[in-house]
Amino acid sequence: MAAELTKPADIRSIGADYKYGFRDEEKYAFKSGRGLTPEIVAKISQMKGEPEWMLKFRLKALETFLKKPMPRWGNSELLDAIDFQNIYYYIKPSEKQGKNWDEVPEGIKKTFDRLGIPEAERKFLAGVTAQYESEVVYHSIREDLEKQGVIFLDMDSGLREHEEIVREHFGKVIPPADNKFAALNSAVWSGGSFVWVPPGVKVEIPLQAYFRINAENMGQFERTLIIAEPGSYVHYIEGCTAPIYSSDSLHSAVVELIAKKGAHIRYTTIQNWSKNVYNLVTKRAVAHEDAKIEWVDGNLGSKLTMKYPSVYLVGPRAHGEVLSVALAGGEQHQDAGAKMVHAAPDTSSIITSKSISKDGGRATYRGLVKVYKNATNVKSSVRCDALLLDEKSRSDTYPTMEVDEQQVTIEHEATVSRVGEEQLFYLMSRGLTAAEATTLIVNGFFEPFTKELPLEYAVELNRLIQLEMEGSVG
Amino acid sequence: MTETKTASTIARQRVDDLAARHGEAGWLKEARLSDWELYLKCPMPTPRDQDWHGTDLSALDLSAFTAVDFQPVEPKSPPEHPFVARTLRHFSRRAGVIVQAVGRPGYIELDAGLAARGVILCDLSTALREHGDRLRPYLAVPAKPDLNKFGLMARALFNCGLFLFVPPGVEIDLPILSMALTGGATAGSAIFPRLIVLAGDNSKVSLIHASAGEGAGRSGGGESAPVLHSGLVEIQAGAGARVSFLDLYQFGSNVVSVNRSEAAVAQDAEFTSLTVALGGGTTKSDIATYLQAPGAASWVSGLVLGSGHEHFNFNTIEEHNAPDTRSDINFRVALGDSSASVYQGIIRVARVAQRTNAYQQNRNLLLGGQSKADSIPKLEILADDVKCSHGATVGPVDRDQIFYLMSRGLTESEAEELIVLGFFKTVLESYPVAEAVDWVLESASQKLFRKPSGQTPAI
Repeated sequence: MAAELTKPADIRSIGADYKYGFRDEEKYAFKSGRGLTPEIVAKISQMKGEPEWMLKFRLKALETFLKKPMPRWGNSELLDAIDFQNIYYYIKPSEKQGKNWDEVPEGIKKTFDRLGIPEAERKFLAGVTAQYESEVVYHSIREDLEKQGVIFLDMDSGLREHEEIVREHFGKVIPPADNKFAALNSAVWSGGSFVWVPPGVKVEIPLQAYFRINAENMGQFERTLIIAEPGSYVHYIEGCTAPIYSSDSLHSAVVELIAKKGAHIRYTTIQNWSKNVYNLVTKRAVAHEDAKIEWVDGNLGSKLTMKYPSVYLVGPRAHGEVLSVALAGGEQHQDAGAKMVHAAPDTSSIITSKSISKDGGRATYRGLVKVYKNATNVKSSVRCDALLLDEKSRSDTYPTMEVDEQQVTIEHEATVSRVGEEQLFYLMSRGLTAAEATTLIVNGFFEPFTKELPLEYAVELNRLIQLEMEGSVG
Repeated sequence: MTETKTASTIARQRVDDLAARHGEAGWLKEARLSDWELYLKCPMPTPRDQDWHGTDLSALDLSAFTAVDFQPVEPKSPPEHPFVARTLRHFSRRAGVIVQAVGRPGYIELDAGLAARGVILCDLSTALREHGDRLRPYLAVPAKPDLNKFGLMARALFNCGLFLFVPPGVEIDLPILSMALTGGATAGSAIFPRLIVLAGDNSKVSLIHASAGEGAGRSGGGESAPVLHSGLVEIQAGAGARVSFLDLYQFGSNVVSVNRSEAAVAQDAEFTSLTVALGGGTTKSDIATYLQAPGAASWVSGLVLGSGHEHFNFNTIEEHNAPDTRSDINFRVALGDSSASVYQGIIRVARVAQRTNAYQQNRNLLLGGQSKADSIPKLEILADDVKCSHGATVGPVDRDQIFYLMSRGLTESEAEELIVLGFFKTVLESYPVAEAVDWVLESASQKLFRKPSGQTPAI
């Protein structure tokens, strides 16, 4: 049943199981003032009862953030419009939000409707009956995972309960000074997931987490750290296919993955923030000997997304893959891509990027393949395809290949085209309308992505694309 | 010599002196001064700038260079120089020649029949004196906003170069040769040549331009002071014109060469450009093509052969500014020793440029143990009814091919030479001037194995 498919059981249970009494209260337990100062950062750390080293880490990151200039590449115009002093950096959600159903924009209500989400769940998704902002107040882990010794906690609990593991790896894959937004996240992070998979353990079901922004001008800075011990496997899914509503907000996450010898991590994201969210995310993985990392990354929402999942291939025979799709509609800029850094011999990587621009939207592929000296017998192939649906839209491709070693095979290919007249004509001659035909072609274009998703996500994604495509043609 | 009266330092005084010395028209002095102001304001590029990506000239003190000129050209006899001799031998059938050199007199010849039909070939100083009105519409326009500091410097200070004018309807079948010899320039000197080619509607012309500075600056002393070559090329291909341009660099390792070429291609015109980079300490070139009207087409190709510690940075800019335009870019780079190359290419398709067909290819062959190749092919597409694609590869010489050739009796280095020349030849095959193909292959072959001049390449 559609409603069943759209909503994994986890979500529905959130409201029911929630035991922090938020239904009775009217205020946030704590809401930092707007803006960013060392006092606010110290307050966040104190509220969470963090160890001293984390406070120092945060304060140093704040310094770095304030010092670093805004990037001069990408969409500078939109980046410069961010007012860092007008953002709440920390909200602890321990109570009901003051918003009501009537305030939820028509477009989002309609999407819920069309996806077949029941009323109660819609209210939840729109953030009017339950919400969890900076704190991940819910996660579920099946008993059998616990028996296997898998740790799956929100990051704050992870830090409390497994401080040694966290301290060893936190901020090591993405140091705060990596970029301005990683520094910002490092200073004010809250929530996110902490996953540790013991050696040899294969986690059969995907671990899922949902992140959501509800409060206006609320920044969301989750922090995720996944460590796969030798020979283990885990698939982590974040995101939600229903649109996540908020007014102008900043989402700046940091995600660090570590795949030790022979481990395999797959990380799937479906980003569907509402179309006023800045989504500036740093995602990076380290793949050791014989390890494998896969980023499966879908970007449908947000005003501006800048996200380039990377894999640092540091052990021989490590393999990295990024499969990403982006749909840029009106007033959206999807600036997404991938980075593969080959620092060991016999490593290989594949990047597949597909984007669609429509209604004046802009889709950008930006990528890097770097091969260091002595990383011999590296193989890398990059394939970017872009579809333009109308003359108002724009598609850019900015790949970079830096090769310091001779014994390598590096390939890059990109195409930009529009939906073929012949394809449309053929489908329409079979009785489809122009809109149906275009949607079918677009679905087919994204198929390499959707086929990698668990069934319920794939079904919803196809429906969402269908919704997005409405009114695009004719 | 009159030159001694002109301030040779890179300073405002020189702009004034240049204008005064040649009795330059007011509009030209104004253009020079406005570019000079822009030059002063423009920051020195850094390796972090997108357009420079890893090419570092920040240590150059531009104001410390001493500007030098080519000497006047005379219709007597070509200067005795092995490069000139070899080139003239290859192009025994030609429509004209201009040789300009630092420190020795130049040479000029032009087919009398063409001159009678109104074709103009002369050095730029002469052109500014005698054909100012023809040049004004192209020289008195503001610099493109993406022109870098070196280009602005050259626009303010240019003092030599070439002017080629082909009247509408005149078809020149044989190539015109231009050679610029900078070998006489001592360390610390700078030269600012500017080439202007105006091809009228429905005309046809092939210009082959070689900048050579073998052994440049040897007498000049310390390695710390390079020779700066900052060149500008501006080509106008009128409606229905067929213009081909070959630009070959063969500089010594102490030459820093920063160049910008721009070609504006009018309705139904065809522009073919081939850039061959065979040497230079640091070579940075922007090659811009503007397809300005329906039916305009361009083929832009390049060959780069690096050795030693040579560093190349080529940037092709292909702007489709009108509907029904097409472009094809093919850049091939072979790198030996510790040489490095950065290739960047952008295809921009304007919103109006529907039915654009654009292809961009960059292949890199790594021969040497320490060589490095970066490739950044970019697309910016604002129209929807387009076919745009690009491909890029980086890899070593195929060991199977080497093995095959060695099994046929070739040594390993011969086999590698054959493969590199074959790698280049696929680009050259589409070049419309047959003599140029052999000349380029021979030049490349000489560089690969430093063979004496005159020996024919293996293929």
